[in-house]
Amino acid sequence: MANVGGSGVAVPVVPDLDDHSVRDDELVWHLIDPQYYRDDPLNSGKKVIDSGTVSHGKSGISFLRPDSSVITVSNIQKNFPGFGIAQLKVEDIRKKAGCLFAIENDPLFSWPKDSHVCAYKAPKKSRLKGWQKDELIRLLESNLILLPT
Amino acid sequence: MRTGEDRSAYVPSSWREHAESQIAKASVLPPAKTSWSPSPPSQRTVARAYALVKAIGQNDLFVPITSASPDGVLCLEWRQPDRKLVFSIFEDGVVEYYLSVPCVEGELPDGLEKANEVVEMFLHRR
Repeated sequence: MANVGGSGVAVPVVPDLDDHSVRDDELVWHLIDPQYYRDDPLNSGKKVIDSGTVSHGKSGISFLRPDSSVITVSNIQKNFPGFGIAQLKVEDIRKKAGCLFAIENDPLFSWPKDSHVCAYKAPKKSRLKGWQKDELIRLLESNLILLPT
Repeated sequence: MRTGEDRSAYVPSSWREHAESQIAKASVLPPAKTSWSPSPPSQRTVARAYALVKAIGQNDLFVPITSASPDGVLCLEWRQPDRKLVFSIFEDGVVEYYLSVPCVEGELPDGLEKANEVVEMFLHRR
């Protein structure tokens, strides 16, 4: 289906693939496997997060929607020992990193319904570009609420 | 005479040997147990990563960070305080590059020789 713009040129209608039930004012968690957390190669004394954690082919970048009962810091520590948690605003992921969200099942863990969401490149749900991954890494590195160990 | 300064990262070719050993390690990763953990890249991805390392002619690079994504994308990453260079190697054999300053990115043609131009830009030679 295409709309016809004022110039008479057909403007393709892009379907909105972003799931807006994942609200902009929500916070989501990205777990940081300690394998992605390493000493800064520039010897700054800081730790850095590898690009691998936000790189993807067909599957999206996994995030969790924390709640007060199951997706809690203590349960993450119990089920994912050594993993860190970066807590990001959905709005930042959408607006700064240009992502959309899709609610998907996690093939490797059984989370409460609608709790596991994946980020993709907006608007076509494709794989992220380099600048988007770079922005996500910046957001992750500056929003760690639990350090990987 | 020892100066106390670690120059090992700047020894010619050492980055290449380091990268190849990291690619080899990634190729034998166990399957990921979580959606946030690295997965072993496919044989095709690994072969393309070796080809990329071979295609980069510069010997004076420092060692890269090498990581595999949760779905097996292999990343080679160089960081400087003000810029970053990342090559991402996908399961379909595509190699993408991203240079943060100046912000350029794209897909490397099959021969991978263009990687040298990107590395030269990263090293501020162009």
